[in-house]
Amino acid sequence: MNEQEIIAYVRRALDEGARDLDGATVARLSALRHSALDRGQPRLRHHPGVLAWVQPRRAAVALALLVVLAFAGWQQARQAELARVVETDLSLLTGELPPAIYADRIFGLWLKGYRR
Amino acid sequence: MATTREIDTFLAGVERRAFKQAVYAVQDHHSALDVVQNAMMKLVERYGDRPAEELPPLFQRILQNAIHDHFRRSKVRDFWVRLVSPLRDKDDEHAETLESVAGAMEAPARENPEQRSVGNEHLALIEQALATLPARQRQAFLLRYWEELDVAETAKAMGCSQGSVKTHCFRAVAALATWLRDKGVTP
Repeated sequence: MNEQEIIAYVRRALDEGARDLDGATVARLSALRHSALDRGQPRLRHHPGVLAWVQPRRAAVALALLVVLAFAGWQQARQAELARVVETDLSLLTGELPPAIYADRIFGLWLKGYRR
Repeated sequence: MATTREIDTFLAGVERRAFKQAVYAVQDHHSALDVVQNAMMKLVERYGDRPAEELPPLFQRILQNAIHDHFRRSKVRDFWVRLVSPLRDKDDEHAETLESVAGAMEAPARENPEQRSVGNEHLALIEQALATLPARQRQAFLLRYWEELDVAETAKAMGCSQGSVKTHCFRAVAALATWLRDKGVTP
């Protein structure tokens, strides 16, 4: 047997095997096909509209992106706040006045008046 | 875009061979039906808007992925079964034993329809020969020579290079020739 003969022989046998499947399996396959076509009918009938974009996977990716962006924004705001506090503390500690003065009640009253 | 009728005709023409391919791969009648069902669903739901001429290679790719998914799910299921099985008490083990005995008694009845349909002695031999092939060789042989995909389409469906497809096909044909010669089968 050469290569082509073997291929043709095996193909013929496999075709016969597929053709002679038992009735129950053939009926089941047919039912599966109809079920698949019924479920896919809306997609086959209608052109996908704007809502076609809203698929679970895409929605999950978009949500993950939003979470990452929100976290990055929050982190940036926190860093800025921290930098401001550090700057204030440094200016207090390196200033001419002793730090105890800022805790004094009179300084508090002066600050209120200054703000007004 | 393929019409519903075209997809129906295409699937009707390919479903038996798809089922047999799945049986050869997963070695189980019911799992093979599940694989074919998943492949059909995916084709209709995701690729129903493709032209009819694109359907054959597309379906074969989906079918191979469905078979791959089946093995992946089986692996995960086996892992959890192995993990949980030491936690079961003896009563559960007994119950499982009884279930498995009952299942074993039912099993021939479930598998018989598939086996009964194979009345051809030569077909049985060829199916045995296919079962002895490594999975990738069998997959390449069936796609290339039974489904008549070209080398490029077969490579795409299998997710490998065209060179690998040629090698798998060559080895599969050689192995089948040896097997058939040893069994005294001549075309």
